[in-house]
Amino acid sequence: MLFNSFRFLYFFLPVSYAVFWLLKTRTQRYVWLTTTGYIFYASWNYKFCALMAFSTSVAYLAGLGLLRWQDPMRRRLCAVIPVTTDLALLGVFKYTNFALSTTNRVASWLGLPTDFPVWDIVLPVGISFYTFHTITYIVDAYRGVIVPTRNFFEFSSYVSLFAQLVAGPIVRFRHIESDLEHIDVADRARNLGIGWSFFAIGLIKKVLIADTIAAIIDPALRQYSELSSIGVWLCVLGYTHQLYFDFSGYSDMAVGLGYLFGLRLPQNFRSPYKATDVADFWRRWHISLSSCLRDYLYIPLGGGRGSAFAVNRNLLVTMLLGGLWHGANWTFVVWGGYHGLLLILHRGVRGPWERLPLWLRRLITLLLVVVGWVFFRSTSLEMAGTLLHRMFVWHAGGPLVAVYTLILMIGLATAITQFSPNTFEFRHHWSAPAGVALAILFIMCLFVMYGTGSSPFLYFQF
Amino acid sequence: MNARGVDVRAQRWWSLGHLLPRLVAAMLLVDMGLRIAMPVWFDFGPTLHRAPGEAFVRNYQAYSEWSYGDLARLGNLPHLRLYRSSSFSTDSHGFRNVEDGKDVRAMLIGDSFAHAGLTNQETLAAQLTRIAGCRVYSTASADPVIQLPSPAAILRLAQQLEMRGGLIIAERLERLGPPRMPDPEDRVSRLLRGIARLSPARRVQVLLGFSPAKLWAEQLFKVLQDDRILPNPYASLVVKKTLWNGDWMLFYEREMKPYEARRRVSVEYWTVLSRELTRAGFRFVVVLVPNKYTVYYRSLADPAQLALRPETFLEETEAALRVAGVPVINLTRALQLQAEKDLAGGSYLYYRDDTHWNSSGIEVGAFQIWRALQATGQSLCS
Repeated sequence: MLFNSFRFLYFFLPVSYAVFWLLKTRTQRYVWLTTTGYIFYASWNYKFCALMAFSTSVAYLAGLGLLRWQDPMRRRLCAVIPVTTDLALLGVFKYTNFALSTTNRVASWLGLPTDFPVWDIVLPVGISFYTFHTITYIVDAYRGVIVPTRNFFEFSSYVSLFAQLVAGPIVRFRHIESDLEHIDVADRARNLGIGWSFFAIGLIKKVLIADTIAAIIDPALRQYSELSSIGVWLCVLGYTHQLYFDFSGYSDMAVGLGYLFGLRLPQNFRSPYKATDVADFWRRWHISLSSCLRDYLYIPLGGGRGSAFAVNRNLLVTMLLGGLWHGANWTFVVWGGYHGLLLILHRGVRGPWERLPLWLRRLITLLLVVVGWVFFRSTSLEMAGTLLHRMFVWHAGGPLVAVYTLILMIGLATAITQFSPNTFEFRHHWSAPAGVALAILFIMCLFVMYGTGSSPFLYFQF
Repeated sequence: MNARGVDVRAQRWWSLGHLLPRLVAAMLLVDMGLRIAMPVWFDFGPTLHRAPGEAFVRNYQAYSEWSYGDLARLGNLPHLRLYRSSSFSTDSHGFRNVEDGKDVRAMLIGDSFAHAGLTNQETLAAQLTRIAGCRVYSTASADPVIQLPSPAAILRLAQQLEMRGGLIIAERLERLGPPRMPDPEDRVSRLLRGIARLSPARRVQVLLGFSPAKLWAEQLFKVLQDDRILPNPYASLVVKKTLWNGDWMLFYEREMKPYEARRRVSVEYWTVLSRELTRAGFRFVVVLVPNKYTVYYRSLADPAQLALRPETFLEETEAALRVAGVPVINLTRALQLQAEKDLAGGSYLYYRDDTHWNSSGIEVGAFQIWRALQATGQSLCS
């Protein structure tokens, strides 16, 4: 079930909302949020509900152990077991075939007679996200940053909250703990307007902008070997904005849904294409993931302390694993490594870089990010190589279908990302003309959904 | 008042928290209202409200000045539509015939090619009736289950039509491939079907499954998907080719692919039908109809180099039927010859914007069936 589907808008959301606000006690609302989360997840694949329940139960019991025991050895076990379990789940479901196919390829290069068969493994939707929820919970509890909850349903409602279940944002328990504690006294009226405002803006970003761009560039990129250099540049620029509007649109809708249920989910995008350098980009793009990578990987590795080699190593390892998190494909690893190298380079040239004009820093940063998206979008390194070659070496090719619409959409998207406030910078108390305009755009989204069906969000594949 | 001094309890009508839920509810009401009002106000064809097990809605009538080909529709190619007027009506059994089944001497079963025609008078059954001088009744349907009835279902229908002996003609289009044996019928499934016919289950199924709002939105959106404003994602389903006389013709892309490899031939269904119907005192013949591409592939201005002759599949099917002792008429050669003859004059046996044959093609097919039966000493009418 997608947020931009009629099953969600007409049935799931109204029923979930109505029952939630009819319930009065905290535990009732926790149970209902858990129930709706599992119903939402089951609409994708009911079999994997057991997996999520298992991950939730292990983390909850580990939390109870951390509450009960002060012995360092036992506390360490309470941290290691659930984290290992979650990473094992990720490893098995997400990376098994990647490991097998890579092993086969390396063996083939070395002339070894190995040929491991590829397994028929279905990737459970959202596993990359809910395992990070449970991992951050346990690590924060181990570090004493949070006090684990004794209420199973409070914890399960946090893990299975449908708003952020399948594509984030990755919400840490500490961010939502206070709202969960006071969920029985949440102010429905206060959150109604802001919730729907976020939801509408997210839907408009996804349906009217991201999907329109996708409709044009996806068929073109399927025949990427026939694209001209201009065609490649237009497709890559289009993808740059499609990805942002799709993912940030989803995040906005998730935040809006959180508000409707009295929960304030964190900001996930802070105008990333206004970044002045690569480090700044990573403080603005997919903030919930980048902050997790910083707090739970980069800093434990040593972070910015130590020698230049150590810091650079920490950056590279963090970004490589961050790339791998996105998907079991070498293109994601290369993308992560590319950003790691950019971060290392930025550390080395920070002084001269800061002396450049602001507009030039933003432009170069954006171009560097655009080049990185080529790896992100490509299904193979060969495709990425072909696209990059055509971007920088002139190549004639066939015309792009609906090219003027694409140019218009890129122009509009660029104007929004460069000059408009992001969703969190709005006050969400709209004047009458603005409210009506947003409502009209919302209706247009419904019309497009009727006409074309519901398209999935790009980050669902992760 | 909140911390910013805004009175959040004053619901302004333009507040999104006030407006959007009401808009969503209004859209839902409009959608459901259109679904409920559908049979009264709108016409969506003779198949939507048909009872389970029936080909079309009974006693249905429709006329249109603006009919056009299924390929132009499938490929979203409005500039290649060839408009024509058409009428479609069904009898009290829910089949497309000129009139109810009276004094029926032959029954025609098959797919959309068996009931194709701009009017009921153009269909294969109607043309066979005119040529042979006796009543040929059509029970054809585009429904994949109804177009392949079991021997028991055919005999039940023959009983309803008061047929005593006579000819059963089983038409089959090349693209549909070898027919699958229908699941064995039993009393329970027939009883359930009878109950379904009476119950509102079908009505509820249609109510939930079919949305006029969605249909109209899709049609409106297709206007934008013209390869100028937005790409046309349907264009790849259809192939436009030029004939040697300079005219264009649309082909179903899937019809052109099977020529890359040999297709599986199976005649089990017809063998069983022939045996059971013969045992019950009926005669039986299979009629094989070629795809449009099979008929016109040699007439293209730039014919493709094919690994297999497109005629191969039907020729092998015909041979297998003869080995099994089942009478068969393959219309491929007759249609190819006539198509080549007519091309110079710019006339065709299949609609240029449709997968189906037109009245000329149906007429050629009907005459070929009648001549083939005569050649074997059989009459359509005895």
